[in-house]
Amino acid sequence: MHTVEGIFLWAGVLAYVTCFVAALLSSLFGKQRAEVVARWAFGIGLGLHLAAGITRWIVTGHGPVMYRYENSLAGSFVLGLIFAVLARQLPATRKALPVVVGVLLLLLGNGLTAPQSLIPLKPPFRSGWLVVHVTFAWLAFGSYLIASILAGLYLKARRKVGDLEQADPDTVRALALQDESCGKLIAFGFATDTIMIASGAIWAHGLWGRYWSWDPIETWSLISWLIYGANLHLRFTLGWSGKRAAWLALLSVLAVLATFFGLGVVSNVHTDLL
Amino acid sequence: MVSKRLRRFLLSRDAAIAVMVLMAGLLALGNLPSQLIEPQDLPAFEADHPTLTWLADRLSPERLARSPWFLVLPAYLVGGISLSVVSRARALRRQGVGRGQQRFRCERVALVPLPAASASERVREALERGGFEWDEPAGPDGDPRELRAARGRVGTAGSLAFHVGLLLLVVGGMLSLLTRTGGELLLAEGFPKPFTPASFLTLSGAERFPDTGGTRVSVRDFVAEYSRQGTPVDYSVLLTLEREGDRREFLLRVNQAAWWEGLQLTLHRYGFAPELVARDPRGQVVLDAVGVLRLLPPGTEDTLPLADGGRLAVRLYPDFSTADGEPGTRSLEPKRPVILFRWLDPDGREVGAGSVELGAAARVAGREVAFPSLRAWGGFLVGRDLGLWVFAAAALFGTVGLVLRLSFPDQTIAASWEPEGTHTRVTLRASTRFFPALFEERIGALARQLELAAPSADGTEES
Repeated sequence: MHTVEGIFLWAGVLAYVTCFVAALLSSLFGKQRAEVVARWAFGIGLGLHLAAGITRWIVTGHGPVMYRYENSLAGSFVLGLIFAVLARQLPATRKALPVVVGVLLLLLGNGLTAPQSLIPLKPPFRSGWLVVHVTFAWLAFGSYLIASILAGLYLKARRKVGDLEQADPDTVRALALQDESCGKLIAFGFATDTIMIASGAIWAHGLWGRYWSWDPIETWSLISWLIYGANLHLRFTLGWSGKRAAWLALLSVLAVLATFFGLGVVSNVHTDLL
Repeated sequence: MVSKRLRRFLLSRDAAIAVMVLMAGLLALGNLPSQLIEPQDLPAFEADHPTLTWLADRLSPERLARSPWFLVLPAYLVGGISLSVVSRARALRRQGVGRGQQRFRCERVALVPLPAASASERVREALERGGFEWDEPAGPDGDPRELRAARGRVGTAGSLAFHVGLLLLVVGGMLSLLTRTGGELLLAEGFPKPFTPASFLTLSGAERFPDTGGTRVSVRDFVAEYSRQGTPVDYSVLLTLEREGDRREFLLRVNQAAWWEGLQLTLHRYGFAPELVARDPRGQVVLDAVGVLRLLPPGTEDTLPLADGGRLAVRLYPDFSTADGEPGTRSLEPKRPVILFRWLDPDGREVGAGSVELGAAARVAGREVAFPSLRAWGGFLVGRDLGLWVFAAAALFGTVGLVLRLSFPDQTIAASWEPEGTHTRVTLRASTRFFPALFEERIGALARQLELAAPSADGTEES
């Protein structure tokens, strides 16, 4: 890791930790000032995180796309960015901040356990399709992950509220908005997931001479695509919503985690590049 | 003609979802063993768990994709999607402005501080900005008192395109299954080969490999670019295909393929190919060849057969160095190539060991090993897949269709207005197919926007 990159990154981690603590205080004890601190700390953390990524880009001469550390650095940033955009558009989702930052820190931490050597782009990565494939992979992963976080918080809130017919209309509306935000994120994730798979397949054909080889990661990406396709059908054509849809979103993310982190340690053509 | 029962079965969303989940589940089960068991541990696993191994083999994704029992599942989806495409196409033709209500409805009233004509203009502009198409049916006295708007025609077209993309995906997959041929060809610089299935290291679908009519393939000018740290950053090579005096030359790089008569050629693997000459104690040449050595990790031992039945075990260090007496390489760039060798007799006993630099010869135990030149070799993936272009079209239709579907949901708004003093009461009756709570927020925001004071000529707001 370059020194400047390290400074930005660790400062960003500090900001995220501050955000996490402040957001927890706000969420558990209703501290208004803590909420403001949390939002500012999140914004600063994202900015420093971005600076770390850009520094690495400049030093290595390529975007952070190779191996576990770089993928965690970029993927966690995209997660934070998606949440920032969502929270701005839909204030009802802001309460997910502590959980999102917690997950972001876990992702970054996982990446930091891997070597952080400054390696030039290897020949298989020298393709325009890389940018498309990896960008949409992060967008899909981030969307699905945040959707599952929102789903988890929805279930927690529903347990607290109890019977919706007895609940305050504003609470019911807020819950409905949260549920639909989850649905929108899943839809967005599915679209970006589709682009990720398609671009990856076309890139694979140019690199390996075949667009599909039933590699474990390719297979898991198809599995998660099918699962989220079923998710969308259940929500939008069969009208699943509320608790059922939330449980579905929460469980579906397991397939995505298997896709991105794998279930085992066996190397394959994808992990050799990752 | 499709019978009603069959139609209902194929269009059943419950069944489609169940099929998708079943497919996902079977693929996940079949994928587990390849993720949890290292290839070198497979024989031991097979011996300890024969039934599980048999099951894992039957469920492996590659095998499932060819199994008729599994293929029934996507075939069912194809039937349903085909019918669905037809009904969506009909819906697209029928879809009109504001006709029909969607599933979820809401109503808002806005008191607009403008006369009726200006208020209706404001409503029209707001709807246009939102991407709605509108029409204005005349009232009984000839004056329009209502405006109907709808959007989603583009979304319906998008849904149609997405499902057409899914059908193309299946067609592409079947085409690939039926027409794909491909394999790997190893070529070292200066050693042409006939471009026929027999020259391939591995080749699937050999019976579908096209007749190349005496074409010969060769490579030259292998160029590797290295970073400052000595790691390779790019490889390129000139590949030549020659047939009856007609010569075509292609520059191949990793990620830059070449096409020849429907076949795609890609540079997949690469390594060093040292030329080695070995003589036995009688001075007889027992090896005069170019060895195809593995590049990574540096110093990996490869063995080459000798004419006398023995073997020459070689380790190539592209940029030789020693650290604490141990051999190593500073980088992958061949700045100082050195080969460490072990001469093994036919019984596998080591009869001599030594090292030889590029351009030199070494004598060990009466034997000689010379290293006159260092070439490169490439592993080239050659193949043809008629399903590729259909797959690419499927990807295009699918992604564009999905984006349109999600960006232009089916929504209708009917706005009616009545003068109320200096104001106009505008009633908005809206409906949407998806996301009712978010849509209701949006209609509420629209109503608030309509209620904003009108700007005056000097830019200040009038009350």
